[in-house]
Amino acid sequence: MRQYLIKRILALVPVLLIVGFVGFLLLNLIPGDPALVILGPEATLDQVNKLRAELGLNLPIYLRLIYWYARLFRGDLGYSIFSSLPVLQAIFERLQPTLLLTIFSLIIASAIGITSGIVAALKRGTWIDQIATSLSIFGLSIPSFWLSLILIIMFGVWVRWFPVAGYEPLKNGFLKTLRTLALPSLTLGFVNSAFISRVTRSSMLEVMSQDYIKVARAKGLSYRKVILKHALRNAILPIITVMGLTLGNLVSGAVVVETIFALPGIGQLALSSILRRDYPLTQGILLFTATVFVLVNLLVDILYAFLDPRIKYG
Amino acid sequence: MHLKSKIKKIVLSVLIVILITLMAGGNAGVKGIFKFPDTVGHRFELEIIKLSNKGIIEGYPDGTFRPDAMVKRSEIATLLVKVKNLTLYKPSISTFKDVATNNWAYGYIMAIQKDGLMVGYPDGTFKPDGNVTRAELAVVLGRLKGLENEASKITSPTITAYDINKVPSWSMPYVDLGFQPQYNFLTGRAGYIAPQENATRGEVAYGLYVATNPPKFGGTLKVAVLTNPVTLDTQITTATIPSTFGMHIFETLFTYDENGEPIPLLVDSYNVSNDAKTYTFKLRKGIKFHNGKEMTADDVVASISRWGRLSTNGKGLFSEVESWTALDNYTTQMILKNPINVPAYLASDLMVASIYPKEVIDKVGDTPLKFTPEEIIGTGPYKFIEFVSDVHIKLIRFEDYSTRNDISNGLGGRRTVYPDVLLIDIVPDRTVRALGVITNLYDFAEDISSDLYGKLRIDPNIMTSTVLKAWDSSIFNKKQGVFTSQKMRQAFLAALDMEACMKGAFGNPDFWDLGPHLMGKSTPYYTDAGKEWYNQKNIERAKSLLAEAGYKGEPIRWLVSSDYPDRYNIALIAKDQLEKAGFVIVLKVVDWPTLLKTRNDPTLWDIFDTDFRYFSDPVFILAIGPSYPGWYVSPTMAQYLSQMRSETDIETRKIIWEKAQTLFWEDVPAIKYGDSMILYIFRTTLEGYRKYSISYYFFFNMWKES
Amino acid sequence: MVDTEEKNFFSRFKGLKLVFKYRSITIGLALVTFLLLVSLLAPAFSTHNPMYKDPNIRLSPPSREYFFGTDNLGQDVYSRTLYGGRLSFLTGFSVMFISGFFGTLLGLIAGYYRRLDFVIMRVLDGFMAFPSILLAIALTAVLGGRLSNVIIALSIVYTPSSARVIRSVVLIIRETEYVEASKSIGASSLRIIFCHILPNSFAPIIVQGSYVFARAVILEAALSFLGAGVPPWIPTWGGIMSSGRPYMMVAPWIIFFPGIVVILAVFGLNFFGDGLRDFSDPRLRGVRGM
Repeated sequence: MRQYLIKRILALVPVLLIVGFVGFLLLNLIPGDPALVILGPEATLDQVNKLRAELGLNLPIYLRLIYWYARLFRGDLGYSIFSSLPVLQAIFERLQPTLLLTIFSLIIASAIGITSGIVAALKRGTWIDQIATSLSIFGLSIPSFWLSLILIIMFGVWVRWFPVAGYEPLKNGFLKTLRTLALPSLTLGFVNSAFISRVTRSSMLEVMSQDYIKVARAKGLSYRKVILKHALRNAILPIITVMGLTLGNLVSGAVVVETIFALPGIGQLALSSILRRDYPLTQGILLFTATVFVLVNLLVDILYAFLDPRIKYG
Repeated sequence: MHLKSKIKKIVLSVLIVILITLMAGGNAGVKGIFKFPDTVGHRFELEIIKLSNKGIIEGYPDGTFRPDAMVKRSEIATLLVKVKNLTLYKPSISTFKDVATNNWAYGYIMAIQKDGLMVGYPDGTFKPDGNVTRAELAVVLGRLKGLENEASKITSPTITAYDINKVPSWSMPYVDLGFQPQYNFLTGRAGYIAPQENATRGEVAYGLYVATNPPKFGGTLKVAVLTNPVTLDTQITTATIPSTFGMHIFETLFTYDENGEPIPLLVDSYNVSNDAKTYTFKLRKGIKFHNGKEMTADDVVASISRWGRLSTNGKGLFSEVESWTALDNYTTQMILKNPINVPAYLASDLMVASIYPKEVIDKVGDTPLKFTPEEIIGTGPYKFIEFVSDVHIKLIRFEDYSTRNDISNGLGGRRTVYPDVLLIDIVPDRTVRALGVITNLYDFAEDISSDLYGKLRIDPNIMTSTVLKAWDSSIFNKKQGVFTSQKMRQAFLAALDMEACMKGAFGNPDFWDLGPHLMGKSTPYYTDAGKEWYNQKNIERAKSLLAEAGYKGEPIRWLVSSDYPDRYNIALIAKDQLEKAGFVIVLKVVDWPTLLKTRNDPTLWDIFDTDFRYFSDPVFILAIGPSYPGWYVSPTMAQYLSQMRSETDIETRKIIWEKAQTLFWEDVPAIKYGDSMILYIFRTTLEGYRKYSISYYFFFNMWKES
Repeated sequence: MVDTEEKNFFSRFKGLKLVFKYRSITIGLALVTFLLLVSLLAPAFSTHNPMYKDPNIRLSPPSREYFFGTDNLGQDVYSRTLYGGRLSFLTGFSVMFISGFFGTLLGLIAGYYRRLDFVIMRVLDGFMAFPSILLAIALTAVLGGRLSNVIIALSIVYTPSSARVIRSVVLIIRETEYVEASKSIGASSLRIIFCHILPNSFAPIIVQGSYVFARAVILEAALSFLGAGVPPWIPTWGGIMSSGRPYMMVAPWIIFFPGIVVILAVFGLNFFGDGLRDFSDPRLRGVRGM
């Protein structure tokens, strides 16, 4: 197992190198010029070329790639063209809102999803199942911007429980932070609960029709114990997978929600850096996201092995 | 059985969704703040409404307020009685010869006479039907505030104005007090005090309101804006947010007064040689930069030189500059090759000729300023603290700001900063910006959807302001492609129904306007020259022009950016119209950076869309210049522009401009669709808002009531 | 023979299942087919030209003439929604099937063959890092603004997650007794994969499928505003909803009606998928035969 772990972590290196390469290629394929964006529509070609030279954009592509890799090996991700901050610092400064948003959303999504999934499975065919299923489908087919705005209007304007926008960093008080993240987390949480709910339901159904469940009941164990101890435990694997995937969805779903609620997170940063052609920052974020996905998937895979002794890795 | 229940569940959830969605759109009708139709957009609208809501002042039975009408002395007596809640006093004998005991205003006049607010004339009259003059208003308001003691200490004025010498001595102390920031109950008229002029109802309402609700210093002003500034280097950028807030941080040698004319700001005085080729500027002394250093001629020379290198306007000016030097520590001199109206360039609100410290310029050279307090240093009333991307720009009051002493006149004159902090929050979603003001998260928000105007008007806590923003335009590629032909461009113009385009894109007619003018209605250069070509809606004519031009159906590549939905909507509507005339249009949707890049290459496009802010001077209009993408090369136009640049007489310039605008519509280097307005909203607790001659908002002389 | 003990808990399932099985497939199929047909026959059912703009009636609420109201350019939302179905179904189904196919394939291989697992999964890890925007804009820049580029970009985005879901199921089933039993009697790997593993993976595949369909419809709109894919004025469900976003407070019907249609389509897909899963579940096969 330990060997496997080490192999997985070492695998980060080639993955990041390739992600970096492909990302670099893609960015340079896209038309657009950060110098033009900075200087604005009335800039002359001289000004633009001057700024490009200063930003190092006039070098041939392969040279820029090599320099970028060279700096990467030293642990230096370069500087954001727009804020002049080191890329790593720019990313870390924006980490808090997205991190908290993701965690809260995942908690909400899992809570709603797993509960409703179990309930739907147990009460299969009844109206409770119908409602739970309907709510799930509703959640996954609506656009998140719509739900965001509805929640803002309901809970931010009609009743002033939450601010309609903005983010309070943790250093201003956890409760304040919670207030600013409540509606965004609810939005993302609800939208993503659908997937978890559906998978929980079908996974539970699979498990509950197994023989060992019948055996447990035959032994006289209580209903609740059977469900929670045996059924859920065995149904958990696909659920964990989906939770891991939800994490990925949350990161991309964060973009829209962060824009609407004006949360200064990585989602907004990623979008605006691409739209402004801030090459170093975009590449830095790509590497960062790739790392996150690799580590999350690793965590999920380890959990598999931990939860189900039958699973072995090579 | 199950089918039915399934359907029931779907129907139920659909109903819930309907309910929620439609409720989101609805709004409970609340008593509105917009009472008087003739005060909408008036400078003193907010104070008039507030005073009226308090029951002090009323409109006329026909529902109007007539804010520019005169106020009779008897009328102001009644207002004062209401403000001070005095009891009417009707002694059996009148103190005044011309006020009989049965005069309708008798009780009021006597009450305020008793209270000492108005004492009448030396000849024993009161002149109840005479109009209140502005000087009289100053005195009355001063007494209302109990400032007699303060007034007695003032022997000579601390303020200046063009007509300061015309202020009668008996009113001088109160006039002086009225313009001081802690009282602020008087307003100027384009730099004039106009003491002998009659006060208007609006001025009286404002004065009464502010006298009884004095300005407060302190607090944080929170403003919601659309997007991040790309840079705060105002010398280089043409974007709105950097220019707006840059002008809070940096200052220029000249700025705009109430009428949109350039007046000195950092300059104390200047003179122009007889041949109009030499300008000598004497700078004000003791002006501090945010880093504590004093501004001298070296800073000014370095700043304007840099601006001259990096900005289009600057380059335009400096192409005619022979020398630009410092004569001594506080004097600079510009020698020109040909006469040019230099102050107009130096006051420009686009690619602003801001003054930076010389050390900063030496350090950054021509690279744009970075977002640090070490580089963003100006002389303005607000000081830059930080910019956190996607969060906010933070400015604080600059305690050592050297304000001018002349009365506030547009952007010129005295600039007082009342709040301690100005926090500019970046809120990209339009609806959320509006909701933020509704829920008191922000005090002010820019760029709100005009479709929300109706709903916002009925919210008693929200004030709106509609400001002219820009004219929407399509630019033709005149270097390469089908539009090198004038006939083609004329054909394009002939087919367009401007009204449909503007209505479709902007909706509410209060928010857009038609007309061939390229200079705003409030400028002296407004003209409708060229109107025969504007808004022809003539598909037949377009078709015949296309035939004459020999158009063979080549696809026309039209660049639009989805980042600017209004312009993109115009293009969609225009496209349908043009296709009826036989144009083959290919609309290419790209994001803004791609558009910027693509339009520099004449092989890649035929039309692109943009909008142009209204400038103060026709020579700044970019669309008619040869270097702007589109590459309009016209010797006649160039001649007109250079004539205008050197001419300083307004009447002559107007004539030249009329010819130039006519040429614009004959030659059609670009299309103008119409004027679009922008909607700002703010809480009614925010006092002092004014519309300026340029379409920005400024947070000087504005305060928050608690 | 049925245990008397089982009757309480499981018998109700058996009874319902029969009904459920047929009903679900029918309803689901009916719903999806209905929407699909109406979209394909849009010219017959629509009341106005979906691209005709009349600024004078912009943002009008639903009425007898304009069933779903009009949008900000005065276009008929009802007709646009009908026509929009074509492209939305095309996008949704394409992304669903392509990412589903490749995802399932990769997931099966990775789950079953341990040596390939490592490599495949690491490659997919890398894929997950790319935001669809970046892919879509880049593809558009190179290949031009076509719907196929959006479909490719979105398929790339959703393949890794399908793969992971399938893989997780495979990992479990691989170790079960009947698979071991099959192996011991010499069944080929292919047979094991297709006859034992795949049928048990249906449930997550289907759930993932309907999720991807819904997401693809919405995401297509965001991408078209950036120049990728279909120009934004060509109606698609996601596009109509996006165009209605700034007007949510004044004209909520622009978002509402296409939204309902998307919900119905996804409902339909889900019911159909559920039914299909129930139908093919090997454990239930025996029950049916009873």
